[in-house]
Amino acid sequence: MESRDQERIDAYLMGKLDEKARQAFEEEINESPELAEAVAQHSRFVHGVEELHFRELLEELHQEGVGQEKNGIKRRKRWPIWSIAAVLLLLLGVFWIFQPNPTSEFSIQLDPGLPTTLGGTNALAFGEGMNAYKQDDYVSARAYWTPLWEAHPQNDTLLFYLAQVDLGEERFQASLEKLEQLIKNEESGFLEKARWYVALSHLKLGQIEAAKALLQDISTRQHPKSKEAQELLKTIP
Amino acid sequence: MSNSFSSHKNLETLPDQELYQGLLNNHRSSISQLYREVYPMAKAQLMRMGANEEEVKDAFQEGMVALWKNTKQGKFQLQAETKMSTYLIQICKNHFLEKKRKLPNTGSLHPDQQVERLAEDNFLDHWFKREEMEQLSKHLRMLGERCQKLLKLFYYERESMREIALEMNLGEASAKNEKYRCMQKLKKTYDLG
Repeated sequence: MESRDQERIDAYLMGKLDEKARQAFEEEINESPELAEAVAQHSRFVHGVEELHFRELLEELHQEGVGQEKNGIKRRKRWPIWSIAAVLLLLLGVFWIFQPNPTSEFSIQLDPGLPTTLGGTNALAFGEGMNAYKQDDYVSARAYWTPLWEAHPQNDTLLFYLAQVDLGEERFQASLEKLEQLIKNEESGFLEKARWYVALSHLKLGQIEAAKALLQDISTRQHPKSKEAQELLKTIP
Repeated sequence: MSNSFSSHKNLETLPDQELYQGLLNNHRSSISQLYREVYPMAKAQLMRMGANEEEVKDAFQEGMVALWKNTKQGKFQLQAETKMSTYLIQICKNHFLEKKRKLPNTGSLHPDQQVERLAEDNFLDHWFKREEMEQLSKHLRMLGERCQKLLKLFYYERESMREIALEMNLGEASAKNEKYRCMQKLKKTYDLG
């Protein structure tokens, strides 16, 4: 291959030809098996050089990241003993000051989740989020579901499970806001479940009267959580 | 931003469109950002699947290479509802599972298989196989530092011959000739080796 040929092939492979020149070059390739072979061979080396440098960068980034993580651990190890003691004392103080209200001591049983199947791109992301949710990886579940919910803000399934993620992370105000939005839709398949979790969110936030009103409603009618509501009401002063 | 692999809680702020353009053009900042942001999430998920540190690194880097190639070949297109991180992690998981199961032809998303299949479709998409890359790397190193630098600046950094000539203290025509000779030498030594 001559220098001039390599320049032309480079320009073509690297997208530097305008539309007219690109079309003309492709016609030339179609008519000349020798040129087609030269382009294919050169393309392989161009990609190869590019990939080698890309892989080098990945290795460099990995070493930088791993190195920083290790340095971070070392720094933590060098903390003097008195600072650890101070932190422990502080935590002890915080523990005593923020002793939970007895009514908010119960643990919330989250929804077990939905079965996952592979489907289109959205189903894939939803399923990945569901898998993460079932393994209590709420951060990953949120990362998968939030973009889907932003694209489909009316989707009650996403809203319900994002609220479950909030509950799992003990973000009760956030869960309450989502669930209250959900129960406005009387046709939602998640309506009754959502009411139960609204009551629990209120309770966790110390909003006793609002929680009691909902729990009494749930306990006195045919509701999948009526027995649990009755039991919970007994513990509320 | 911290230099260490940071929490994936920052994912929501990643501008995928910029990362996509950055990948297309080999921009270090985009590649670096993607690596630092997605690696912790991929690591957590792969470890739950039984991967050790070395397997996580291998699966993640192969996933990055596959994402990079698919982006350049137009096989991966940005969609409003699919984050680049979701796609990348899925490739990593498939890579790990296939390597673990040692099933080379399951028809799923293994990066090498994708690339090889694509190569059958389009003569411009010929890539070296992974094992051939080591040979190429060895022959590239044998060319010497000057050739390596010139080829990297032109084919990877995508600098113009004028910029390269300035950087290497050459005339533009000399830079072009040198680049031509380096590439020809690489092809020759590789084919002989």
